[in-house]
Amino acid sequence: MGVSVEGGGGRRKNLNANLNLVPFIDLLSVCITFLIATAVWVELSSLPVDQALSDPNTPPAPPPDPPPPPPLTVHVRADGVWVGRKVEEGRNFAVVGESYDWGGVETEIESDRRAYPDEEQVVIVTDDGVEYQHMIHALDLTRKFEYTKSLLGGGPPAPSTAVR
Amino acid sequence: MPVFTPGRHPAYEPIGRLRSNPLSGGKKSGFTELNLTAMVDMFTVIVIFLLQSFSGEGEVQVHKNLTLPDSEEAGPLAERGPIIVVMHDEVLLDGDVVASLEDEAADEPGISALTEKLVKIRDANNEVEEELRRRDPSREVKPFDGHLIVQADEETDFKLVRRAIFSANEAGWTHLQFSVTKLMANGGGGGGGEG
Repeated sequence: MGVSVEGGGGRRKNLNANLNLVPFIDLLSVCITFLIATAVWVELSSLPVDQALSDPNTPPAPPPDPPPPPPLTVHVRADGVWVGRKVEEGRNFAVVGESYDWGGVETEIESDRRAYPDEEQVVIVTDDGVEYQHMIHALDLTRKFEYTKSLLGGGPPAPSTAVR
Repeated sequence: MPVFTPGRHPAYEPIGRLRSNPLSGGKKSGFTELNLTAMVDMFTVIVIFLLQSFSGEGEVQVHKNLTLPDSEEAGPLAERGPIIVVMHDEVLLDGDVVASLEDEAADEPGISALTEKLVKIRDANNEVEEELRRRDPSREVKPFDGHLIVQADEETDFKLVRRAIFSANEAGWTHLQFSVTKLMANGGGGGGGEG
């Protein structure tokens, strides 16, 4: 590679100078090696959940008037998913074949979002024996409709008679 | 088809070379000039691409033999912290086996060994924070803000994950991040899952 510099004057003198590219290529090679060695090839994704909905150090706020509605509850059980705010108003989506009816659950969460557009809290309850991926799926559906404050709970399987 | 300049042309290539440089004596030079410009250009593009994808925070490893669940709404990992891995019968904290769930009492809500380890980490963090505040009294006093990364196999019983979460909450770690594999909106797979 050469650098051409326009020269003035009567005598024509060759002003082309050769740049030494070897150190430059060395530097680039070192940079490439370092960056490839430290590259992050797999970017991990995550679903954040804050289990403490309020700071325990702050004094409790006075109860609002009128009292807020009970939070939306998504109860993942072995035989289906129950969605609702009150026991008598919730809907149960039974297992279809060997998989949960996530389409029905999504529709129910969407209708709850329309009824309570400002609510952010959701409680996700999972019975013992339910796989982790089903809890994540339920959490994912609630995040889709912007229920950003999630509380995870669970315990022994709930009796099916408690839901309809 | 090659393009020739008008005028006389040598009949053979050696004759032409002889005429242009009589000192070479007709010998073929062993040196070939490499055009380095294209290579430097390519190197520059590679360096720029790698610099753009460079992350100073390092990579969070996913435990091998672990299949993460899928999620469409997941975002990038926001905060770094200790990593809890819940396998089928083991709980690991930062790669070390903390408890074997076969030995643990299944009726207990938490895992005591995990709670102890997390309390130790929290205390160590608090000590560092106090030392920094001692050196710089103007440093803001903030409550402990523990962030945990939870990794579990998609087929793990959530009861085990819940026990690990209970232990973390007991030790004061309340901000959890569940590692998942990001799904694109059209259902395609994203990154993640590599050991």
